[in-house]
Amino acid sequence: MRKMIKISAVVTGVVMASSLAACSGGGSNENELTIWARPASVGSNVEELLAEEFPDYDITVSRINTIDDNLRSGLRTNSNLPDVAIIGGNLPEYFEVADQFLDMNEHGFTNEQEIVEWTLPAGQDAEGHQIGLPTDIGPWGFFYRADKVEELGYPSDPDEFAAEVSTLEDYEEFAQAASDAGYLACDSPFSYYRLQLAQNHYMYFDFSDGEPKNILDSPITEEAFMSSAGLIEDDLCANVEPYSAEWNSAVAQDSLIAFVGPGYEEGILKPAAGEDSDVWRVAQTPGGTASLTGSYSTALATSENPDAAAEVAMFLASPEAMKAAYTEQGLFPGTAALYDDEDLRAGDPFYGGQDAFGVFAEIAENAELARAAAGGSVIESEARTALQEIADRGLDPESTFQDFIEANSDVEG
Amino acid sequence: MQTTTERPRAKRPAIVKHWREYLSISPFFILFLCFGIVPLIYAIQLSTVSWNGLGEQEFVGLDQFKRLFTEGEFVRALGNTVLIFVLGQIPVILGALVGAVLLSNRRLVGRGIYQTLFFLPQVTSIVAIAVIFQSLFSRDYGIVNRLLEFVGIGAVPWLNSPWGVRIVIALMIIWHSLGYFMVIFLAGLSGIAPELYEAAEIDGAGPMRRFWSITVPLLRPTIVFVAITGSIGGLQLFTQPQVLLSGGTGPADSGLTMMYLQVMYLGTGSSASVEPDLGYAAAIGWAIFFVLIVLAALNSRFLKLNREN
Repeated sequence: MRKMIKISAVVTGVVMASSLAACSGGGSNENELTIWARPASVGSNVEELLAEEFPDYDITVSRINTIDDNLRSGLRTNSNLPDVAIIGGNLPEYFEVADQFLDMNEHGFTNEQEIVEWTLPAGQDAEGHQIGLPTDIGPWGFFYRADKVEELGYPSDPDEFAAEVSTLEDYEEFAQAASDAGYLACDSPFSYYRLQLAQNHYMYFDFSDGEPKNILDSPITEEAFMSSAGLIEDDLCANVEPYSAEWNSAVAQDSLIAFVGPGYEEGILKPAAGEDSDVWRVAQTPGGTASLTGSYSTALATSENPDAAAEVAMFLASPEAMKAAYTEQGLFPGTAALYDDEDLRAGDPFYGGQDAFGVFAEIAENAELARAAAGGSVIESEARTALQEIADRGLDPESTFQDFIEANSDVEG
Repeated sequence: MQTTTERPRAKRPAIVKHWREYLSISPFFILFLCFGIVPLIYAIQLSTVSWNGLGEQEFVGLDQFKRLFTEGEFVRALGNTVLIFVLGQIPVILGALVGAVLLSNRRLVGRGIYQTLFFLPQVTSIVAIAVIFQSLFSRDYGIVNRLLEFVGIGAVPWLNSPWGVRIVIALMIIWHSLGYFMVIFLAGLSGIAPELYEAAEIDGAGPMRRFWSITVPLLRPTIVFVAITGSIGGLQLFTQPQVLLSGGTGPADSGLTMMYLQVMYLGTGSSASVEPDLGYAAAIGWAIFFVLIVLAALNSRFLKLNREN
């Protein structure tokens, strides 16, 4: 018995010592690199590409849903951080600790990848350090069902349809025609609201003085909000948010026949409509082109291999990596080098053979930046809630808008 | 005659004498110290600052605790938590008790299959359940409203009205937890001697009389255990509303619970709906702790009264 206790005591001691050592954070050796990314923000074959490009390094890609939680925890303690992190649309929130990231300009970034110019400032902090490089971007498209628009008396050809529904007023008329026929041409009023902000290259903050200044109380916000509320009041929207089960049902049940949204929503449209569907098309958005930024590839200053980390971060923003990410994951590339790629421009059976990539490429190339600031996501969330409350509880749009402005005009960038 | 003089042994402290035993049980206490006590002390310090988790901390004294009562969010979250608790947790405990009594009937054919089927939701991911409920209760596209329209009742705005949201969350709790509590009650019921029921039956006691006079009194410790664990779990509700409402808080914040509010202020996710403030999140954590302490005290009092009776 005594012997048993002795053995268990020794085993316990060893286990405790090793587990505490593990908790204290492991170091990485010179040839090891770690990448953190959300599951959908890198291509499924990125490991193979990295192994080919960096044969001297052992690179681990961790797909983490809670990447922001993990990253924030690591940045607080300056430990347990990856070498490279792909951060979503909330990159500005990290500019406060920009010194914990590598400046790509100091590591040889010359934009030989041909990244579209308007996306680069969104990856720069106030001092102009290039913290992140875009791995994907969100040009907006007008997705519609060719068979249903024909039924409504509209042309089904994308160019002709875009010409017919070219202004926001045309879109509202089209939505009314769809509603009269028992269909819906607007998924979420918040999408319509965001479209209008992006078309005005506006995302609540003014950067003309260098520092972000809250300009929420502007005619752009009011026009976008009130016109979106108008769609709700006229019952022209399905009031379903993309990435929800309700949105899938609206598409699958042939109720939602058109919607405006960023190109990456193709990733939810295809499974909802059925991969073998060939009736969907995509056209330029009514009211002008719009594009928002997507994810950014960053390298952490704590990396033991800063040069290699920066190189990997730059590679993830390269045409080669982005082409694979588009093919595998539907992530629209932020590099103009791919916009004439024959493989990508070959046409997609889902869109009835239409060159949907070309439509988005044209939008992306001609877009202007709607630059976001750290507090932008809070305001976005409040706008979404306000519009939802109008839809769900029938609140008065005018007073709801005033409450929204009052509550968020002092949000800092 | 030989006498031996034993030298009195110096009394060693128990911790030295039984060092092996203490070392063997030490893992739990070391881990509890690292991941229980230290964070608790840190949470005290954190609740006195305003901090977004990345920049500089700003000392604010007790302002974070004042916010709990002045900004209205926490009071709303507390109210919702209690309402959803009443709608979900109380029916699930009562339902599980009745279900367990019915399933404990030895004459019931296929008891094992029923028990397995009732327990199945417990091992299903809450996220998956929430997504399915989102589909079922969708106003325009859900099967529940289709069925209600079919029988002439008309569509109900389940996820688009405050009470609808609370009811759907309560239904998720009931569906998910019923089997778990039922299994605990079944274990408690198996400890009641069948002779008691046989004797009562011979004396002419009906099923209801047997339930109230034998089952309930003898099952009281199990009922109290289920009530305590169910209450603590019920007040820490978070995943169900978060997934069901796609990261939102529902109409009139009807899906906002205490834990959900805390997670929001921790700055989780890429589309944070509030500016992260770890200090306020810590203060909310202390408020939840206080509510749970009050509840545990009430449960303890209830248990004591039961014993005395």
